[in-house]
Amino acid sequence: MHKIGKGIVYLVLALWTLLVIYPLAYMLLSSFKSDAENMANPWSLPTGIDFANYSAAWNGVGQNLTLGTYFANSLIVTGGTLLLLTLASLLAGYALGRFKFPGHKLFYKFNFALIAVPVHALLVPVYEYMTRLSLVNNHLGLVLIYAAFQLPFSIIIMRSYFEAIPKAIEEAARLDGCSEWGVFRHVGLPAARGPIATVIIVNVVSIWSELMFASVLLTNPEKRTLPLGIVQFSGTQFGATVGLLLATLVMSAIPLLLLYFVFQKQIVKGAMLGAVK
Amino acid sequence: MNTHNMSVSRRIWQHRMAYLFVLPSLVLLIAFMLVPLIRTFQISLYRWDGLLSPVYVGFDNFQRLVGDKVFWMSLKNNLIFLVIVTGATVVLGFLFAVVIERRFKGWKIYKFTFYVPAMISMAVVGMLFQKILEPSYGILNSFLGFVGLESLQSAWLGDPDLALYSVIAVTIWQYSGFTMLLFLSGVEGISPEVHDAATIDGVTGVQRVTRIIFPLVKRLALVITMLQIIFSFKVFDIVYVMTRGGPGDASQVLGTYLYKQAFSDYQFGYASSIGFLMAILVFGFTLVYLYFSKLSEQEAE
Repeated sequence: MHKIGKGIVYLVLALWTLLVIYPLAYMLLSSFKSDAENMANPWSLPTGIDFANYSAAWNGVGQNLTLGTYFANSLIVTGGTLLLLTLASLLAGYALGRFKFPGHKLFYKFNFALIAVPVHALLVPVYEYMTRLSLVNNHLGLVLIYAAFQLPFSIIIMRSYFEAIPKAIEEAARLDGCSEWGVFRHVGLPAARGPIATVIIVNVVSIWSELMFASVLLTNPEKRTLPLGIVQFSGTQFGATVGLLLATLVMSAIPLLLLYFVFQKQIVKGAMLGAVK
Repeated sequence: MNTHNMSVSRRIWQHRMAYLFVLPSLVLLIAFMLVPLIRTFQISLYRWDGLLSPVYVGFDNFQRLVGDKVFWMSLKNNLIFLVIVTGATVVLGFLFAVVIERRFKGWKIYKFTFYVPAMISMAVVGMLFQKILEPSYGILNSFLGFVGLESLQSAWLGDPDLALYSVIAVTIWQYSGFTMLLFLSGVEGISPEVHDAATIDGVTGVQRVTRIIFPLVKRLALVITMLQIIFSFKVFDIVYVMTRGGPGDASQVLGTYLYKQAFSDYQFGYASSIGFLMAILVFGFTLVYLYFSKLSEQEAE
């Protein structure tokens, strides 16, 4: 009985491993095959590593655009958002973690309440504002709303880190003649590397992948982010071509997967923190 | 320092740096979350196409929701999605976490591999599975044909009875590794002494899971369940990419129906009433979640 049970568990594990790996392997392998090959036999291995689909996909987005434009746009939006998000949440988290200023409890609760807001509900008014502020087709508009959407949780992460710094260290710095600002610079900032990494790890995937607001706010093809760009041309003739589409998907998946392969330990730790969210 | 004798204004002045630090976040949160949220409710009381001037209609949009079959179907689909995705990802995530903690052969491979799908954008996952589930040249149907199960071959995304369930399966594929990591944070925290004592008492594998591990992470399981419920209410990307809510409106969920009303049919007021209702639903569930997660925090102390 015991052995049978273990056997079933191993079977489930083997099956799930295959189930996770095979679609990704199919994506990679078939991206090297010509369309005739893909139609004739989707299971066959590629005859060689042929990057024809890749160069065609990279240049084939149309209207003088390459996939490079989408990558660049996504990098700008994601980088800008992470910069603003980290900076704003660092400052607010430090204030919440270190000072009992009048209203600190209210501000903390405000953040908790905002975590509960489904951002879809904000789609129409945000579109309305961005139109009025002429921030449609402007990456700054996305940076502002993405940062705002991720702020509540990030502030709470930052706060928990800064709160954990012992008061004694702060007082020692003060005895050495440090002002409030000095304490922040010499005690707070050096301790911020951990929470900054956590905030970036917890948020980077959802910011990089965001689709709904991007699709409403970026109507100009030149401004599109990567997920939006690839979704938009999936409906075209181009997207109907399996090899080309899969090559596009492989290229699109690389940045986040690379991040995972390099920072696996930190990402796993950060994802575990997600239980707080 | 005696704060009681200090006037509020002095305390505020004393903490001026803290206010300065909070200010950027406060401005962003008020401008891009609080004000739009209030505005959503306001717009939901109007009939508005986004261009001409809005017409005040009171609670007409909400009344229209009650009689809107597609809205009820979206809500029903959303609940089906919620129950199946939450149930499957929580059960699988727990199983995988236990297997990894008990150091089953190959545990490092499982821990690494199972989380990979969660690191791929939903847009990419959705488009990949569109190809895999394609009826004529997709590998799922061709596999079924190969093993002699032609009768099961289907138009996975084209059949109104199947589309929603296909999207659900892909979501489970993508997020079971995520719940696995959440469970792992709790399961790995169980002290070795507990396990040693159980081993001495002759506890078998299944009993260890049901009598020792599960009771210790019960609260965490509840938190993860709530988390998945909230996530399910907010689902949009995967449905939008794979089916656009179709065929017809067969796989419509609240998020995609709101999007359709707003940006295909330009019914901003009506879309906002759906948004407002979503906000209330998610807000309610999140409050329950926060209540439990606070409890689990206290338990850990």
